[in-house]
Amino acid sequence: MKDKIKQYASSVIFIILLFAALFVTLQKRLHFGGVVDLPTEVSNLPAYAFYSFSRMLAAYVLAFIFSITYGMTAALKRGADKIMLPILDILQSVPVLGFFPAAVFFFVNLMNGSRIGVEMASIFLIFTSQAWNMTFGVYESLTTIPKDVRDAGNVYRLVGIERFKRLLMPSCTSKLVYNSILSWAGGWYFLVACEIITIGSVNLRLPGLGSFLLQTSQRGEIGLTLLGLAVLIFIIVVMDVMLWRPLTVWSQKFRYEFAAAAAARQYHRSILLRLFLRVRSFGPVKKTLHGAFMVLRSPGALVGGVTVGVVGVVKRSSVFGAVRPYARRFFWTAFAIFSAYLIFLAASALVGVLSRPFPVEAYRIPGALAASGARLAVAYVIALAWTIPVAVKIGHSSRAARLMTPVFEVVASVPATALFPLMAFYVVTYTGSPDLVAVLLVLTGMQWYLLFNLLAGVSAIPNDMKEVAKLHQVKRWLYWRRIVLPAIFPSIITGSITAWGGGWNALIIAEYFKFRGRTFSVFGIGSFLDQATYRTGNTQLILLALIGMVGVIFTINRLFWRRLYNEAAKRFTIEY
Amino acid sequence: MSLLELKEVTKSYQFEDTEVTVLEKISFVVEPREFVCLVGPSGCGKSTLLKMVTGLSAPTAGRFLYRGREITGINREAAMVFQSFALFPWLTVRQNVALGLEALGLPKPEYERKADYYIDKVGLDGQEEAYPRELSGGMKQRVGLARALTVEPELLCMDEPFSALDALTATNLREEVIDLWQDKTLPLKAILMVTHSIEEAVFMADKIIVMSTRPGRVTKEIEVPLTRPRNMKEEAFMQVTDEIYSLIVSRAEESKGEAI
Repeated sequence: MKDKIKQYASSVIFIILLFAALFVTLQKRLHFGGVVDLPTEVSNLPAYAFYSFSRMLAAYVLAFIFSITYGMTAALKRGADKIMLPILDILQSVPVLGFFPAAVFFFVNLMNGSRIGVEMASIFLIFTSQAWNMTFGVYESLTTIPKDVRDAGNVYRLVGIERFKRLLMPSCTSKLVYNSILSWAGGWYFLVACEIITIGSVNLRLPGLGSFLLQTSQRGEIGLTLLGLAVLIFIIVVMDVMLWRPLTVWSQKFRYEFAAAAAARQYHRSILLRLFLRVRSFGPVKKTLHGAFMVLRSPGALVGGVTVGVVGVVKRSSVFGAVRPYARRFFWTAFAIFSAYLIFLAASALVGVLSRPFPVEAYRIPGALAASGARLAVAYVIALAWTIPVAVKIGHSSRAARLMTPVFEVVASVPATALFPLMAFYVVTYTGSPDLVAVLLVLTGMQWYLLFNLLAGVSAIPNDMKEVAKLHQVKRWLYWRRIVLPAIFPSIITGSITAWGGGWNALIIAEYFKFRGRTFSVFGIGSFLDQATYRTGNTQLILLALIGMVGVIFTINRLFWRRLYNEAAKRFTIEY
Repeated sequence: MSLLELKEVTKSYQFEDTEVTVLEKISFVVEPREFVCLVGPSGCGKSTLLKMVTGLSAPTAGRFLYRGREITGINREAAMVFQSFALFPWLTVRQNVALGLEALGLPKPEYERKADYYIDKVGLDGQEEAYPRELSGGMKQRVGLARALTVEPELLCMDEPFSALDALTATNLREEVIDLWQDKTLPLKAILMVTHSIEEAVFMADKIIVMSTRPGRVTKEIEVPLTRPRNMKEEAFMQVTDEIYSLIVSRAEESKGEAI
């Protein structure tokens, strides 16, 4: 019970702080220098690709560091998960696009309105599309380290940096690699939204592939859009072949499973890794890499060693021992007072805004939420209808899985947001329904989460179970009803939670869009927010809409998905 | 006519550029009313062999004859008991056991009656509505056994059925399996069991097929000359086990010599 209260309290406080930050932002008007219109010559493409890739890389490095520190603290510090997990849960399911202005304001102000601030904001936004699933991955792998292995670590006194190196990092490796692939896909998908930053009437474009794609497609320059897309896909494919596949194969050896044979077989399937292991001419390359590593390693080890030594000496000194309890208590008291003060400020500011009489438009929010929810539900049903059969088909053939998974990863990375104006134009002209367009875009933001979760679920069905089904000739509907659907049920739930999160996020760009100077809009919370931000700039309306949205998401997650998930975990988990 | 006959069965896998032979020219027969055990070190392809008998996988060369006819596709006269139990956690004991009958398209009252009959046979009466997670290891394997028996097979294949159980439970279950096999009311004709425990094989089998590893070959066929019920502490019992032990050990030393 106490834990429950703690969980809810931390969630609520966190939400209030988020809104307060947003509120402060909306109060100010920003002046910053940036590009409003980009040159879209073909010769610019290599440079744009380089810029976008650098942003992605910077964001990924941040996400990597964040996921390890946050995930490890939540998993290892006693009691920390009670507070840190709900916060992560909110961060993951809140439509981050709605909170973009707050982040932009913060970074732009920090850098006095210079371009660097805008770049930092953009990197931060990409970071928000990469970090959460990686963090969950780290947390999950640390909490599921087999007890024997953990005990062995304790028995042999693995502590500090050794424990990190020999136990904690290896345990996370496999899930970190897998989630890194998904994170990069997610990052590319949101690249467009992250390179074009809109606050009030200011519309800023950072030079990059995302803004190139959006600008050309808004103008209807299909050739250029396709060219930009080709460059993007080229980068994605190269990364997949050169980086992710060898890494995935390599990471298999860190899994706590007894399927050693299968892993060994996989190991030889990565063409690159095999080349690297076999071809002689790689020798010098290997040596160079190793040399570089050693050179970098010794100063690193020196710094690390000195730090550990100094910390050790300080820790062991009697002064430190005497002061320590007081210092700690002092620190936490100060921290608590400071946070309480912040929360008070935030809450009173919010109350101030919200207690003003509501404008008439505010009463359209529930209706808008319902309309958007219905749109999401339609897209969700479509996504389920195609991902379940496809995942089951592919998951049952290792050959198909090997061939198709990279293809899906590439397709999922394509920023549908950029192609959207084009797509929208044709769908609207042929069917006359902007509603259909909105559903389609939301679908691109939902379906991949479902598909990847389901694929993982299907391939996790133990071989013995499939053999039982084959031996007893359990086929067709009976096979689906008795075996496949129950087996993947937990994956359907986790996939659904993330898919709805992605869906709410995509809504913000799906319900209101421009093409060749024309504006298309459908009634919903996404278009409501857009109009409130671009046209009226009414702080109260924006806040009310966001509160409504977050409230609905939070309630649905807590009351529906979480419960369903707990039920599923109890009934449908396969223990081996 | 023999129930099952293997004629020079060979199985090999394409592993990258090299071909790895798992089983080489395996020949033996299983007669009706015979309990046959396959014994050998791990990695000698015993489980692969069982999979081919049930029709889950096909041999690279050689022939499998069941009652004189070649096995193609799933062998409907054979059923399988797994080391890992392979029960579906979301199905009750009754639903797990009835799965094969349901797949045959039997009406619900009939397959439930039949499932209950076999649940009773393996001593799980009263547990029909329980879920596998509520059962102990021994009880889970009884469910696995009941599931195999409900399809009323002539040949029961068992892949190390007792190695996931504690010693005491395994001892009990072994005796019960023998009782079931001797039960004349069941259509069960023969049992083909894979094990790595020599004592287990000598305790249960009429005929033991000793296999060597890399590639898996039949080293020797031994008829167990003991009467039932058997006792692991008897002199005669220990003689047979010793014979097989020395067979396996000498084989192992031989292959070591080859390696040097």
